[in-house]
Amino acid sequence: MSTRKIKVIGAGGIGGYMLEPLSRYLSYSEDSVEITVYDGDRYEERNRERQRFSACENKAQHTVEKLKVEFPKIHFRSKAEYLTSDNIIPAIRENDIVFMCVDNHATRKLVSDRCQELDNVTLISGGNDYTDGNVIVYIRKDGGDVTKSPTELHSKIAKPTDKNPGTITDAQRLSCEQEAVINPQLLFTNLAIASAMCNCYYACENDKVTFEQVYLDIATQRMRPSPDKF
Amino acid sequence: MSQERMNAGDDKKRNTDSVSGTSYQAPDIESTFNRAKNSLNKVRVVNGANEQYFDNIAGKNVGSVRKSLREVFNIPGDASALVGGKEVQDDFILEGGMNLEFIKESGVKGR
Repeated sequence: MSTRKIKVIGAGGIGGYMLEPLSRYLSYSEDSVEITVYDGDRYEERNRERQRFSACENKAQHTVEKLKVEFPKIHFRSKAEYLTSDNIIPAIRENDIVFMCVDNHATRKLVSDRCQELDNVTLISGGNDYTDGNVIVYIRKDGGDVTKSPTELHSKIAKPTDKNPGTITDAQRLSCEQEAVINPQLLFTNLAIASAMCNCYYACENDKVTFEQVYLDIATQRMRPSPDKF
Repeated sequence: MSQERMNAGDDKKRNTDSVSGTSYQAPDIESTFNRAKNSLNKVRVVNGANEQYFDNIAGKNVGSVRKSLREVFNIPGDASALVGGKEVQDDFILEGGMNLEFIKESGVKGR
């Protein structure tokens, strides 16, 4: 029996929805499963329109406490911290399966670069705008890229103009929160991306990855793998 | 079991390979050529999840396609346009068989 080591970065709009079905699916696999959830953020009342929580606590800790009760077979861990250059190396390791559910390209670049240093790793990264979004699947096997990294696919991830929330001041964080009010998110888009990330994991697990990313648009009801085949 | 569509009378059109026993339908050369000709006149337009072949936009410029598909394809006004992988401006005239892609940046949010 092998151990699957899953790292989930971000337990908010996408991560919060993805963790329950992912845990349910993994709970019935034969392998031993460890899931570590990272998030330095706390739930706030304004999150209620999109996210499920019963107390305004740290997102990783609160989510893991709920999941532990429902899926006792899985070994869960919570880390109430953002990923930064200070903790990325011990956080993401060989043979990890990483689900990235963050809201900034600075963290996407940090994690993409870290995965590039490893020989065997799977990174599934989701992101959305209001009604559309995409999931990137980055696979490294035996020291080589099977698919392109997020930084290779998107120049805005390679050269982020935003900030990692783990490296900014409280004043800058307040500015980010104000920006979130100006540019809101839609629950259904978060849910669609969470679902697409689970689908991508299934494709990875069954060697059915014939794409590098998946685009979806809930306004036009379309979903497209890109490229169609490589 | 998947549902396969079969028209009445299909069996009559089919021949049977005497060696393998498998059935096949002789190709209709004229309709094959017509389909190939039609596909050469079409322009493929892509933006993120949205993708479609259009047979009525050859001869039009990129700007007018951007404008007419902005709502339907959810194309941002400032999205770069690529034809055959190379960036083109809005006055570029499209021809049949071309592949027009509006660059869709990665989604930012999710937390």
